Amino acid sequence: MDLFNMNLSKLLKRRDPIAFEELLNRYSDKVFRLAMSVLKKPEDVEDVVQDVFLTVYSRIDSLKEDKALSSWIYRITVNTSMMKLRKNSVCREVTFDENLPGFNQDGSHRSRVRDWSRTPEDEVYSAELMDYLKESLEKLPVHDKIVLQLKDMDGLRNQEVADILDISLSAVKSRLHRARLLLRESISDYFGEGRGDLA
Amino acid sequence: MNSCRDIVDLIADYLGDDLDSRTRREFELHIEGCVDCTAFLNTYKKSTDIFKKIPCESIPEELILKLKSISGKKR
Repeated sequence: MDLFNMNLSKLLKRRDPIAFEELLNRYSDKVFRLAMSVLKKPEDVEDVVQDVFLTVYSRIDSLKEDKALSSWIYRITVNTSMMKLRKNSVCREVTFDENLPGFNQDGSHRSRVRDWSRTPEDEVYSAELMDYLKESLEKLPVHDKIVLQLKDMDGLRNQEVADILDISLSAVKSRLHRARLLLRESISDYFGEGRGDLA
Repeated sequence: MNSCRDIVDLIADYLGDDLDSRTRREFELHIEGCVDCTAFLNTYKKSTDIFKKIPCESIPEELILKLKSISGKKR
């Protein structure tokens, strides 16, 4: 049976055990990483991942559009993770301005912006920078992290992200931009520039 | 003419190909003449590339085994 060429959700509705295994093959890492982007404690992540697949398995019959399986799983993951998060966490909001370069009154850059994009690959992709970035991402509001994960890591389209999170397209773009600005600012800081600028 | 601040605000839409043709032309014209905005655009793009390279943790094998038991229990 070639599950890649058959509709996975239809097979899941038949309670096909091979289909459930295929579901795990396709989505377990994605669900795990998305939950990790929201939650800090490994035991919370584990609980959420188990709840997500339990929900998918037990409520698959309620999925009307078989082609929407992927979005449905992402939505369940976000909702389950957020429910867990609300129980024991306070989110910090970051404003756009925190991660913008300084501007003069006429809107021009206040100081020179250094182009570090051509820094040698071994420096740019160093383990140290990766660890530093992981820490920096903790500063992001959780909703921005989810958008960044779905869009830039999992490669979903903006409209898919909007549908999963039940937010507008402009809200997706705004959160994505804010998250990317923080990333850029963090890397600029790492390369020793302060607010992304060089005097 | 857009200011540098306007350009920074438009970067995500520019990279997502979401600008109308006139705004896109104005954006590119500004970038061509502004070394700071060029640097900002390059580093913004590179930041996304770097983010994609952050090593992703895989789901622990122990958890996979627990998940596999779900279908067995529910059948």
